[in-house]
Amino acid sequence: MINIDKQQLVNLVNKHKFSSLIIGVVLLSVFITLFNMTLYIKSGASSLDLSRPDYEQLRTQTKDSVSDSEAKFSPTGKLTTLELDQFKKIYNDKRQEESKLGDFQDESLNDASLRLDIQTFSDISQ
Amino acid sequence: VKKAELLVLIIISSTLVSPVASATSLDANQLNVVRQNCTMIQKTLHQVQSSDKVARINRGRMYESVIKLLTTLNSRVALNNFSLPVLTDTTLTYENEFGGFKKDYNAYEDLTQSVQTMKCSQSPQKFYDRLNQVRSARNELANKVKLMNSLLNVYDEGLIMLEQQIVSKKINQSPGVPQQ
Repeated sequence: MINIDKQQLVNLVNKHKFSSLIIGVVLLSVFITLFNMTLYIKSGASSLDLSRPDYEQLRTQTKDSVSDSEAKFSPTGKLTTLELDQFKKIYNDKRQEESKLGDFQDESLNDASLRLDIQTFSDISQ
Repeated sequence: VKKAELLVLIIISSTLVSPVASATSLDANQLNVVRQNCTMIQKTLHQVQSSDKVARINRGRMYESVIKLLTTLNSRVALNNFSLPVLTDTTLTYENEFGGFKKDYNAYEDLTQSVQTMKCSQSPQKFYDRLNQVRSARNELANKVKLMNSLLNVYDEGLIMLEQQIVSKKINQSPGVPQQ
C-alpha cells in the first residue's frame, strides 16, 4: 500500500498540476457517468430505450407520437354542448386508438404456448 | 357516491390483480420436460418481452396524452363554474394508476430478464417457479390496463353529468326564464 499523507499529496499535485487536472477531470467524468447510468437504469428508462441497434425492428412498431389532438382543445373559454361535443370527439378517437394497442392479455406465456402442455402440467398450473 | 365507486373499483381490482405466483413442485418427468424446453422458452420469452416493450411504450404515450386531455377539460369545467368532482377525482386516480402501471412494468421486465439469463437446465424447478412469477406479473399488467379502461368508463359517466349541467345552465340563462 502506498502511504501518502495530506501534505505529500498537496505537494504532489502542486508539482504535477497539469497531470493532476487531467486525472481529476477523468475521475469526475467517470463519477458523473456512473451517476447517470444509475439513474438511467433505476428509473426504468433503460428497459424502454429502443435506440440500441438490436431494437431497430421494434422502433418501427412504436408510434412516433400519439396524435397531439388534445392540443386542439383549449383549457380556457366557454363550455357549451358544442365545445363538449368537440372534446368528446377527440376523447373517443383516443379511446378507440388505445383499444388497438397491446394489452398483455394474450396467451403467449401459458403452458401450451411454451410447449409444457403435458397433461400433468396442465393440471398443476390450473 | 362517485368517490365511493372509484374506491370500490380500485379495491376490487387490487384484489383481483395480485395472484401471488405459488411455487409448484414438479416431479422428475415434469422437471425433465422443463429442462428440455427451457432454452426454447427463454427465446419465446425474449420475443414476448420485445412485443410487450412496444405495447408499454405505445400505452405510456397514449396514457400521457389522455391525462393531458382530461386535465384540459377539467380546468375548463372549473373555469366555467361547474361542480363535478368525479371528473377531477377520476383523472387523479387515472394518473396514479398510470404510475402503478409503470412500476408494474418495471417489475415484470426485471423478472423476465432474470428468467432469460438463468441457467435453466441446471435448475428447472427454480426456472419454472420464476416463469410463474413472470406470468403473474404480466397478469397484473393486463389487469392494470383493464382498471385504467374502467376508470375512463367512470369518466364517461361524469361527461354525461356535465352535459346535463350545461343544458340546465343554458335553460336557466335563456331569456324568459327567471334567474334564481
